Amino acid sequence: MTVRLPGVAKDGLDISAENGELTITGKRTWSAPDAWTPVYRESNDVSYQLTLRHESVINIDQAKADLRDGILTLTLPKNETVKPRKIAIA
Amino acid sequence: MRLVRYTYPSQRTFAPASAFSRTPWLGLENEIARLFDSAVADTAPARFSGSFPVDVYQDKENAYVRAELPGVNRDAINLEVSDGVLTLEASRKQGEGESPETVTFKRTLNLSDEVQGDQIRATYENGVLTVTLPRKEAAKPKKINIQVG
Repeated sequence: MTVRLPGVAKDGLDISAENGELTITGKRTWSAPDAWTPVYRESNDVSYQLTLRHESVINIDQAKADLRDGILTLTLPKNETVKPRKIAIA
Repeated sequence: MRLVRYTYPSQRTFAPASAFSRTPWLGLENEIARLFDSAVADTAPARFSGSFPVDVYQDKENAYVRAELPGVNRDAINLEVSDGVLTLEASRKQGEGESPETVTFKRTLNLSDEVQGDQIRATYENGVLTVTLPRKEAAKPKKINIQVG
């Protein structure tokens, strides 16, 4: 899973899993210095938020996250019990 | 997996996430927002089709352009100034494996005559490109001391 979060640094990012919901919150780490006057704005200072319901199909304990150049890559391994399994016929 | 909530703050997001979340009107608001988006699609810069959000700031010394370009390689960013027009161009490789495609983003900005075209600097951090455009000496605000006799 990849999430685009431009302007978010590692310390502004929060990933939590609770009640079968995975929530990603990204705060923008950068703010304009006082002397800078905004002339034209298209972006917003509001935080990013993404909530996904995973219904226990993924193993949150084994999740891996990597944030690089404003793109968060989440690796969410599936739970052993929901992986498709081939059953050999005896 | 199912998407419960997603806030991607761009110029289209006018209210903070907390203002709209958990209201019974959420579905209706989404529908209205979607209708609006499709209606203004021709005039507003599209988010993911070759364009990207740009902010412009200025102070006494410089003008600054900040562009949101997540996941772009530094080598894939091109800045060009000619005839008072700044061109920002970037490309990103999308998709893995058999069919990776390269998506190119491009925006042009008109610069005022005050900018020194040969002194432009740029940095890229956390997916945001910051271009610093120094103003010409003559254009900077000057303090003039007047002797009152």
